[in-house]
Amino acid sequence: MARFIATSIDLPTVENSAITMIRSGSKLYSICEFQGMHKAYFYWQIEFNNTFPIKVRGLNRPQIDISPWDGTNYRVRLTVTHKGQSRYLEADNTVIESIEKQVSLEDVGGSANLDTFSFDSSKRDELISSVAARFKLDQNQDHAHNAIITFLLDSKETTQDDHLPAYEAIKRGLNHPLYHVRKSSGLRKVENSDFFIRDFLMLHTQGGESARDPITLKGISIRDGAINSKFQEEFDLLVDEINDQNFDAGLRTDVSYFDQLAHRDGLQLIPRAASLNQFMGATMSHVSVRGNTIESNGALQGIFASDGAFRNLHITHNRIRTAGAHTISIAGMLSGKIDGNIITSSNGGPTPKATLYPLRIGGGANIKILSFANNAGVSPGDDNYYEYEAIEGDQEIEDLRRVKPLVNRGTATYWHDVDLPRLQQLYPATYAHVKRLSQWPHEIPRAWDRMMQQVGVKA
Amino acid sequence: MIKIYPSCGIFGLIALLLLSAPAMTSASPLYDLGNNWYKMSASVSFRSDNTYRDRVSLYANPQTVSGQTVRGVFKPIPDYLKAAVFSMQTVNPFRAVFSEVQAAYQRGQLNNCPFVGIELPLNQENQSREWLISAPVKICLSGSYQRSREPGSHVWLLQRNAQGRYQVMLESAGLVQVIDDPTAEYKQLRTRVYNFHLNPANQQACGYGSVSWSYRGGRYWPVQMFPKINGCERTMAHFNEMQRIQQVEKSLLLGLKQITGQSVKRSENGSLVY
Repeated sequence: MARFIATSIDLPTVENSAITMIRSGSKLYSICEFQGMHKAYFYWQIEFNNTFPIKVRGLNRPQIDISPWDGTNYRVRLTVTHKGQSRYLEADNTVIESIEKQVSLEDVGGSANLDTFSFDSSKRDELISSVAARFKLDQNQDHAHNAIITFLLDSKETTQDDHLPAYEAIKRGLNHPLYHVRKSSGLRKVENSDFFIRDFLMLHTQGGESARDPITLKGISIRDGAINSKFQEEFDLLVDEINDQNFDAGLRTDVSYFDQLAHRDGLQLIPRAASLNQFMGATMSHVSVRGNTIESNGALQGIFASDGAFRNLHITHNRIRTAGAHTISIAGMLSGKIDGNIITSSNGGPTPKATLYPLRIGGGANIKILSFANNAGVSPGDDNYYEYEAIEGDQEIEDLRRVKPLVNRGTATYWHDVDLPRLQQLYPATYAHVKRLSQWPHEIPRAWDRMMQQVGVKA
Repeated sequence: MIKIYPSCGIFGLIALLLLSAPAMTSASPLYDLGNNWYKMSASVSFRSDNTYRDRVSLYANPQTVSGQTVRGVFKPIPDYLKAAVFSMQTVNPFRAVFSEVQAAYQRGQLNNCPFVGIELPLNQENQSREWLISAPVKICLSGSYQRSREPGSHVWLLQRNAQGRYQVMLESAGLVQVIDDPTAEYKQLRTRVYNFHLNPANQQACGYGSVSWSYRGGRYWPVQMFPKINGCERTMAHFNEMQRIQQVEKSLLLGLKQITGQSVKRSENGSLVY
């Protein structure tokens, strides 16, 4: 335990300003509970040898991953802002070490509040055998991973207190994010967390955002603590045993470990507007993503959007460190700004740049739009005007919005001069028709193609 | 020779005893996994603060799907074993491939690196002793946790023979499996050989080979390999799947040549031909 020394006090008297510091390994946990100061913002600086390598802004119970922890000389500076007023506190290792008791994570949560799993051995055998058999046939990572996650959820015995929201979220659906936000008021419930299984936050706008009423995701600290968790350990053990079943099957891939789990995003953006959804090219407007921290030692994608259109999207001054292939990856960005984001790789591999891709519609139909046709009378600035504009900002970007890959190994088709409003009119009928074609799957691409021929030119 | 494996019940009891009554003696400071299992699978995950989680799964017989998992069996190894791992007197065919690890040790960069291990008999002979040793080499060198590109730990299988000479039987990373082949003098080994170990300077190196090793003529030889293209989606984006697998296999075979000192080819069923 350590009591911070207040060196300047800007606030009126705040009771119970003791901050309990718990150091567990390389993590410095604050369980500071300023009485009456819930929803306060905390701004931390950890100083080693006169440098400030770590700055963290967060809500309520921040925790700081200090890596590497040199354990000797350091100074912690903390600014707490509550209701517009700030309180500055600082302490150094001499203060902390004198009263700090090194406590393990188990002590933080209490031994009864850890994630534990209890397996029915016959069901476990059955899972390993069935997943291995299916993977041998389809080598589909998603199928294998989803089966493992489902099994682990069913086998969970006790839950660490602060992991409960993540488990509740994933039980609603295997792709459910920790936070599913539909409008700006929904952001109030977002708290920093270091444990989530799929996305941390999915912003699923409903339309109606405007320059006057923008949505801003800011100051969120996302640390991917599921990597190296008990959940991951059990997940990876199952993966090893599944792969073992197929050791000499000659497969080109193994089931990947948890750190390579697909479809995990720090912040995912999904547009919806009135009757249009993202697969019909709905547009998200006036969203700003700034000053967030996203860190993962796994393949977590940083800021990600794969479907629909994005107008006046600002992605600025975020700090992203991940081992994933996508740090900032937006398909369908029409206009906006990408600037001042600090992107690094957490695995020593090449650091991917911020990348923009063509607008994608149709979901699995995988229709990608390289350019648009606008009707006479529609002008830049109108809601139904579509154009890939130059992106503001100094960020180095790989702009692939108008690029058809030289080698197309997937099912994607690429289209020029697409009349998107017209496409949105035709889409529901085509979609309904496609659903009826489930008995004739070879007809489905032809149905999509017919619709696209009416609104654009195949590239 | 016909070998009879213990029944699952007895095996479960053994696993339970292993959990509850660690075999710690002054003569044998490390856990001894004994021989009463068909297959053993072990891995150690380290964190950047040098704490670690280990797990050993023991399989009673070839039909066992889920192993009996025991944890907390890896313990810090005595200094003489660590010294033996890096001694130039120790026979180590992997020294050239993992030259960076050797160099790091010589520079003293692994002085504070935690080395943990278990005793793991690889044959029925009582004259030799073997240990499975693990250390977070990359973490010790970089100070950061690099799970995705680097499996959690570096591993060595070290043997001291009847004459007191040491030999590294296997050096690898991540998961190690040991399989009791009743027809063979020594147990069979399985590991992954990672391309970025074979080409540490190449940021694009990806994929790995799942490799079986068999003992012959005083050392282990790779006898079967299955190349895997996991992790190659990004670095080999311009290749199709067949080209990726060819690239990964080519690089792995070159690496195995470096380890064995002989040219190696891979047949359709994964067998390696010298």
